[in-house]
Amino acid sequence: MNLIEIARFAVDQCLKAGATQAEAGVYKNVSYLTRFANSEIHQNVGEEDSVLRIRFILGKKISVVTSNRLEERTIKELVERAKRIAELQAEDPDFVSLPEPEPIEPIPGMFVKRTAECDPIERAEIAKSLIERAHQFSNVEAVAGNCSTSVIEAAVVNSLGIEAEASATIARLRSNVIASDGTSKGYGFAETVSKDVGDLDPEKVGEEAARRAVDTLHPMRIEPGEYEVVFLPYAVATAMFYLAYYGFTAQSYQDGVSFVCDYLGKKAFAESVNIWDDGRDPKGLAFPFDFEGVPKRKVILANDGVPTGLLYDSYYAHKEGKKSTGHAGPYLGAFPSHMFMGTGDATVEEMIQETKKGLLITRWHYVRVVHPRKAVVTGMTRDGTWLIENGEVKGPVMNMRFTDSMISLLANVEVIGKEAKTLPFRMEPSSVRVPALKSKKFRFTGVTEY
Amino acid sequence: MSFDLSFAVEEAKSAGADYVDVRLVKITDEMILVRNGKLRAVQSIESYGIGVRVLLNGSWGFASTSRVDEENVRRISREAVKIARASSLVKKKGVRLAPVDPVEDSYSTPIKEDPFSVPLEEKISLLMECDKVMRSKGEEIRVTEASMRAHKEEKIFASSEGSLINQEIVWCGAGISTTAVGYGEVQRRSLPASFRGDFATAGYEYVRSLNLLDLAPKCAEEAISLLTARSCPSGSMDIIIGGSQLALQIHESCGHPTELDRVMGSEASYAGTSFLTTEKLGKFRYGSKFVNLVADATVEKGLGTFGYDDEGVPAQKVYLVKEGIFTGYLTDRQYAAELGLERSTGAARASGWNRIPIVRMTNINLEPGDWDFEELISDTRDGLFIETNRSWSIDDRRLNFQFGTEIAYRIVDGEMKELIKNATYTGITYEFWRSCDAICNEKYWKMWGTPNCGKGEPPQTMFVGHGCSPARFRNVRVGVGRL
Repeated sequence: MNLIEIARFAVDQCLKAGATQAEAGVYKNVSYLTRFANSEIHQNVGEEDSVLRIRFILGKKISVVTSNRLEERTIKELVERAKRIAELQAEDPDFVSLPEPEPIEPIPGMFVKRTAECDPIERAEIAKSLIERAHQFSNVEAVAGNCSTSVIEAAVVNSLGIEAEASATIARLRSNVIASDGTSKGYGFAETVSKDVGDLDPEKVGEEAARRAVDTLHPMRIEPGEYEVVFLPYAVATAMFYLAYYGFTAQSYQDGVSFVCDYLGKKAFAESVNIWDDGRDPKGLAFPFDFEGVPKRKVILANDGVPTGLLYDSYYAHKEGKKSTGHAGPYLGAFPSHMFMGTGDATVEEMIQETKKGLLITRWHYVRVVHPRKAVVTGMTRDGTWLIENGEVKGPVMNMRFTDSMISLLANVEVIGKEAKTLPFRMEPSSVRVPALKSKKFRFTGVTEY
Repeated sequence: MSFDLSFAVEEAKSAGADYVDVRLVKITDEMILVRNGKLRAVQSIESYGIGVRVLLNGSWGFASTSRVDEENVRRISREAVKIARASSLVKKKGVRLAPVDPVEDSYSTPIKEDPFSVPLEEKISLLMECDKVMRSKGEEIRVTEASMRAHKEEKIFASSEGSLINQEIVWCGAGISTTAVGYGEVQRRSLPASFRGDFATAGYEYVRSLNLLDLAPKCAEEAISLLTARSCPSGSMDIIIGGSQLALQIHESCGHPTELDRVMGSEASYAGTSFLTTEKLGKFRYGSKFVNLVADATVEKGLGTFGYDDEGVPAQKVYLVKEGIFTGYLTDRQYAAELGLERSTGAARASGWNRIPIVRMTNINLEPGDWDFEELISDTRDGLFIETNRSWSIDDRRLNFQFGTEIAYRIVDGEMKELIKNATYTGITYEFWRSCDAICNEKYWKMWGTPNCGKGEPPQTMFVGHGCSPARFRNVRVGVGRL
């Protein structure tokens, strides 16, 4: 059976077993990852797996079972297990219904044959090109990173008539380069993602990461405090995830833990800040539906600095009498999937020129939420942090710890970059597309030793 | 579980592999979540598959599939070799493996009560009762959660060196949490620990021992009290860290930097490297003389306890830090050989059939000291007692860290005087551990379980343990950030 047939069979079995509603999602993943460190391939792996997830509903009692054994016999056993669990459940009065079917327009170009057929030799050659380009820079000591190619197929069927299926390919390439001149080390990073493995430009990625590594040798130590900041898209992308997941999801709003509770409809950010989630935009890694088979809708999360929208799955949407926005994740609640931030009209060089005393930051590392309602996060800078003084980059600095509110960060945005970059997001297939930005203040609370 | 893996080994060898290991793994996982009085989820997951790892001319290849039949297993065995050949196109020094004695053996987690056999109604009833008690404590209660999880891993390991090992690892645990909202604040309290509770390699008797129903009133009452508590002061203070928070401190600042693969650069593209570089071994003062940290995969109920690691190396105990001096690493066979060790220290673990074993923590434990907890409080003139993690962050070489906890108490002149909210503390790893001047004794020592350690590309989530007693650290920077 193909994926949609498996899903139909599973739903059919659920209904025969007495389910009042049923949903089956089948997700197949064939992925390969070639990983390198110390300028050689040190791990090289392949995986193929197909997972069936069933929601068995008896009135308002719900059970969820998952298995990767997809023969008819094992699916019947899985359904029986789902039924037994559902029968033992207590009712969830907030559950209304699985979603109703809606038309899903296919998205062209999601699946690229060249990516699906990419073999280990090709990935090794991509790694080799990247490593060799990076080593053309003086003082490059070691190159690390990975090249991965994946084929993702999904089929979702429910007893109300939803039947959704799609497949997509994703190719990723990232690199960390370490430079050394014997007395100091420098660290640089670069990353790219596409549906098409042919779009990956290993020499460009290797060059970008190596240049950063070399430019961060002999970092000086500066004191923590408040600084102007210029964030490159890698850093902005990380900020977007935390902002969206902890702020713009319906479950965090309804739980009272989101900053949107205090700012919905009110000015929170600079007027130039516009944020939205759009799973159909081809500039991201578009995918047409969510884990419930609901078509992805564009949701404006912040318009001219005002938080205006939330992401919903069907469960949390019903609680407000609304419709799902097509953001159901694999677990309970909504999940941001295709984030965008609107561009401005500045280059990074112009942002630097407008900075009196600040930091140019490549990316954020190990970010965690310190206070969700105030949107306070902490984390480290990584792989390229420089001091800017009087409009010029003065030199690299040791990595800094930040602890500050993302509301404050975005409220103080002065300039937004004119070019956006598409980057991978938390879970495939999803993406984030963001520009660089400059904010007039961000608080740094510590410094490390490199 | 039984399955003849020998043909997979033979297929890979005949395709040219120098070394082969094969793991057939079946994972069964059950999670129950009660939220705001409703049974929000009963989730049952099963995953079954096989992975073949090969070494060819010093280069690794790995392939895996969920389709476990002879045809597909032979196919991925050959594919693993093909991948290894591709790896060798970008090779510098080649992989060697430290030796291990081949063994035929089996191991099962000792349990009294199979958590998968306990009636679901009984589990749900316990969680619903806890949830009800928490919700009854005040209008400020916005979110209540009570959850339970059980996990079983059945695996067969076979290698071309002649090892054949059958293991069944079982762990389970539970936890409760309350989120209160009010007075412009949001505060959460989780017991017995955050991250959905405390876990151990044990049967359901462990869940019973957590006495969740007894903890439920305190969980809710403390969340409400925290809404109006004073915010953590800023400055330098002595801090006494409670067991569940100290467990995470150990995890982030001790466990990870002693993973030898990180030190050797293997994780540079994701999790990072380590400041504990090899020239420091045996010399570097990591902590005060009171600090003894050990990696022990044999300790009872440890979440990182097993019979053999995923390379067939027996579980063992290794000192990482002895009397404050850095003395050892967590290793697998490859990195043990690279360092010139005679043997691996048995820390190669894979999260499933579709992942390669990489160096992971087992149970990283701080040995107890000789202080009584009440004496330690009495001995502290001006400080904080902090407990239960809320946020955690550390740099990619494991030096600069910052933690936030759910609850704290101000200690003044030897007494716990005042409830404190939004407590945070920060430091540099070795400076912090060198400031440790007191560790509580065995009476307060407990093994905590962390089921969600992330590492590797593609990512792997591993369950690890940390045993510790509360301990004191001097002059630590607290109250970080605009809270």
